[in-house]
Amino acid sequence: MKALLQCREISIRAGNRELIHQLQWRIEPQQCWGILGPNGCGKTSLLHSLAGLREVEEGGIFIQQQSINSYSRRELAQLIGLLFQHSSYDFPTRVEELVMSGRFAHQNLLAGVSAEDRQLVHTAMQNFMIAHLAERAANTLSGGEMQRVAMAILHTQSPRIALLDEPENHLDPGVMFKLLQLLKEFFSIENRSCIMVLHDPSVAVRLCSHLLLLFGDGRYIKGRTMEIATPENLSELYAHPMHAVNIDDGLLFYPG
Amino acid sequence: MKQPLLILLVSVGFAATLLLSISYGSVSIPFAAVVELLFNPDGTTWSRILWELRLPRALFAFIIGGLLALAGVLMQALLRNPLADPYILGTSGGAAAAMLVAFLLAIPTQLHALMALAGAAFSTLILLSFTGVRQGLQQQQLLLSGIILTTGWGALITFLLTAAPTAQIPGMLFWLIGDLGESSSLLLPAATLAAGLVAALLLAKPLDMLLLGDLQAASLGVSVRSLRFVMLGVAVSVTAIAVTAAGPIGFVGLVTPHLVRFVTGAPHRRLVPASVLLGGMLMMAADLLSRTIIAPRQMPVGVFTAMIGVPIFLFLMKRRQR
Repeated sequence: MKALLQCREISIRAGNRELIHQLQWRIEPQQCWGILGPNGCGKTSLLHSLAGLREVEEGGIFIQQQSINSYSRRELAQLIGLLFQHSSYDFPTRVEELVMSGRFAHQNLLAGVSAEDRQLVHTAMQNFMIAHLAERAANTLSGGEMQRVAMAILHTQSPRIALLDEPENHLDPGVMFKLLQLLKEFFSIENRSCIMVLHDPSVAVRLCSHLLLLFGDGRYIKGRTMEIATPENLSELYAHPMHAVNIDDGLLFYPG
Repeated sequence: MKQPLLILLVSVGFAATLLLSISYGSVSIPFAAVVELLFNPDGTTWSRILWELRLPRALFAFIIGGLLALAGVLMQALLRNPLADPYILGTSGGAAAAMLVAFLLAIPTQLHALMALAGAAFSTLILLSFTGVRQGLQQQQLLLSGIILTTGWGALITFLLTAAPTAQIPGMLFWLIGDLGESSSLLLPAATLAAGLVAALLLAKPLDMLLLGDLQAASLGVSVRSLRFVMLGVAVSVTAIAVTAAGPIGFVGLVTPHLVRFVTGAPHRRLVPASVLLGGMLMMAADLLSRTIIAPRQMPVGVFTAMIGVPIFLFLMKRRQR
């Protein structure tokens, strides 16, 4: 199968520390990748580079076999979308109008909003349980509500590749798993794929088909979740003993 | 509020402000006569006051108010900060200092706008190079830098005033507080307002996106760099032209978009035209006060915009902290 996204020997540095050294990585349609690693290991920098928001220090990123630099911002937004670690908004825009901003890359600059756009916004707001907030001013939302609005924006943007930076932020456990499952299902079917940075290996194991572990000193390992998610690997990753227990056919990881 | 009702309300408000501001002054003209003379100018003193003094003055005030409000809207979107405004951030101060230099060096009037433009652009560049334009810009840091810049320009202005020949000082002082009395040509301010309005409306959608922050806007498909460059150019030009024509008038640019957002929300396709309209109306009203309160003498209009603007600004600051 052809790769949707490809990293060819990319390196990421912060100051003079090399966080990621010559990463070779292929993401194929229908895969859902989880990225795990200690704080400051370059997870967010990597996601921003994949979204074309940050230059890599070395190597090249290719989307559908074309260099990421060959796309305009608009074309890129149709191919790749990013859920940011924190979303905040200081202006009194109605939530419904804010969710519509996901359609920007699909709209003509001067044309009005199409019926299809409206339908997509409506669906996204239903899915992410913010339909009741439609008329609220976005600057009055709580952190968790804003996170759901940001998810709905990404859903209406409907890119081929979704990058999620700590999508569980601000969400209570009751809805967190449901919403992540929803994003994963939408973005790992047909010709799409999904890459998420997560803190909790147990969540990663439940959602992701593949894992990329970043050690923060340039090293990485990657592969199918079941081969990568071992207590040995995770203990080394977090420099702390990690244990695993089997519960209801799932794996639960906890620090020792 | 329903849209037709709103449009009706705004039209009535506009007509009332205009009627009041052309009726009152050092000579009061009864409303009935004003309406009559508007449709049938007859060459009498009243008719000439109306057509040659009051209407151009009201129009001038409206245009200046519109320019300042437009500059405020753009600055607030570009800096992603609802408290941004060319007066508070030092842009007007830079333009004013450059204008005073132009006065003192007796540079021809035609070049004053260019001087103001250079001053405004210089001040804005300093501000942006210190605070950065990226996401995560600290509100306090931005406002503080702006206030420091304004103070710096104020010191330079005082220096220039002190060094100026005594005969020139009263005129300079009046202009510095914001003065609509020395109305020069309406053409340049009117053309600038029209061009700025069209640019802002054409780019209304991407401007909305910018409120999400640079990175998020870029990831949704906005070419942030070029948009920012174009709109900053428009904001600086609009400010510079307003300052050239009427001096550094404060608070209209800050307060107007705020008040308008209560009604229209943040989307720029509604915010931009409504702010220009309300900014113009507020300025006509402030000008009316400045012409009548100690008539026949006139006060600089900036006195009233500041006296109205300062309490509103403080109130809005307080509200944001909650």
